[in-house]
Amino acid sequence: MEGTILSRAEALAEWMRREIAALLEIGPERVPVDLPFDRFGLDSVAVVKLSASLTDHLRRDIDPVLFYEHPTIGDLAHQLVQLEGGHA
Amino acid sequence: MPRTRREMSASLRASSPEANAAHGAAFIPRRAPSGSSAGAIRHHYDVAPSFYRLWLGEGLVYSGALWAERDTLDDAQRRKLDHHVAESSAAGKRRVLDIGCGWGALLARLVGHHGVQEAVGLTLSPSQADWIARRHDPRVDVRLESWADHRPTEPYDAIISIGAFEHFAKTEDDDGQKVASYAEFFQKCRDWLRPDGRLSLQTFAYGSARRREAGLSSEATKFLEEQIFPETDPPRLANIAEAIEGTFEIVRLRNDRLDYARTCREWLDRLKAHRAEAAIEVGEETVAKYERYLTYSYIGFRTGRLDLYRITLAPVPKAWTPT
Repeated sequence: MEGTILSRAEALAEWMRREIAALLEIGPERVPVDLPFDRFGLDSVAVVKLSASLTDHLRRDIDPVLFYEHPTIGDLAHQLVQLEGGHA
Repeated sequence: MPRTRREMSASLRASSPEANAAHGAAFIPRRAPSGSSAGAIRHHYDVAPSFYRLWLGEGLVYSGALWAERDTLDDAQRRKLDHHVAESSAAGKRRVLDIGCGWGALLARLVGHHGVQEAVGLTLSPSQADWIARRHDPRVDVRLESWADHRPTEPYDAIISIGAFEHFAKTEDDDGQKVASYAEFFQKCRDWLRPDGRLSLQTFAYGSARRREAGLSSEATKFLEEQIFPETDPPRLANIAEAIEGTFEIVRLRNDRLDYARTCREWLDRLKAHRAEAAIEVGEETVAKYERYLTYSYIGFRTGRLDLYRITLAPVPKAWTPT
């Protein structure tokens, strides 16, 4: 995926919105990127599944604990893109 | 590998329940009158210590640590042990009881660092009892015994229980049964303590972020109950508060759930870093199961679905009766 770090973070955030929206069975536009993950009411199993999807999507191991250490979609997307050094 | 029970009993002290068994006294109940059975405790804690050491660290302390910012895991575990020693005023005392003594880190700290003359430890895990008995420290008396069967011959100056209370009730118990089990525990502790003694208790519990019913039916709780901690259901704060009525008063209460989250994170990182060695010890499937369990636990403590209580308790004096 090409583009600046910011645009790649936005694309990743959009992907996560769609994944969470699917889990919650609502439209992606209703999923805020600045709300802490634990406010979505996802249980531990759902968070582990989400990290597994993200692992497949990015083709690198994404630990579920990252969802709490970077607790919003925006934070996590930015962090992951930074960690990849722009290769996410 | 754990040695046979016969070999182990020879290494336990003469006052141990193993020795008592030779005289016909009950030692390990087939099932404790309340809470997890001895078999359920063995299911989890009789896994090879060499496996646990890979991720718990050298001290083999298997409970939430007490963290200061720059602490290593070993520092934070020592800080936690010392917290309970301070809260129970155990330092320099003659006799101290550790209920659920694990692999003996607190017992060693009490006699080795805090000048306690005699530290008595209770565990239901033969592997843990054997581990401690092999150190042959004459100041330490480890007993393969449930608190429900413990009959001390002398009172204790302090009692500490870290990470055992979680096992005192089963999933199928209703609130009334849980409180009854806990109340029996507190009553015994009160009876064993000197009047100026303290009980320092650490237990994780259902947090207030979610109702217990919702927690019980979650997939993560079912996994933990079926695969990791059979016959175990943690308390809610209200259960503890109800169970101490008439026996103990709360001197201090802390909820350090984020300390437990950090501890789980540290354990998880270590287990992943030693995945290959761990798989040699217990097999890949068990390692994957433990990684899953530590991840769920981390999330539980991080989100407030689980709390970590450290409670300092002072005994309520027994009612005076004219003689």
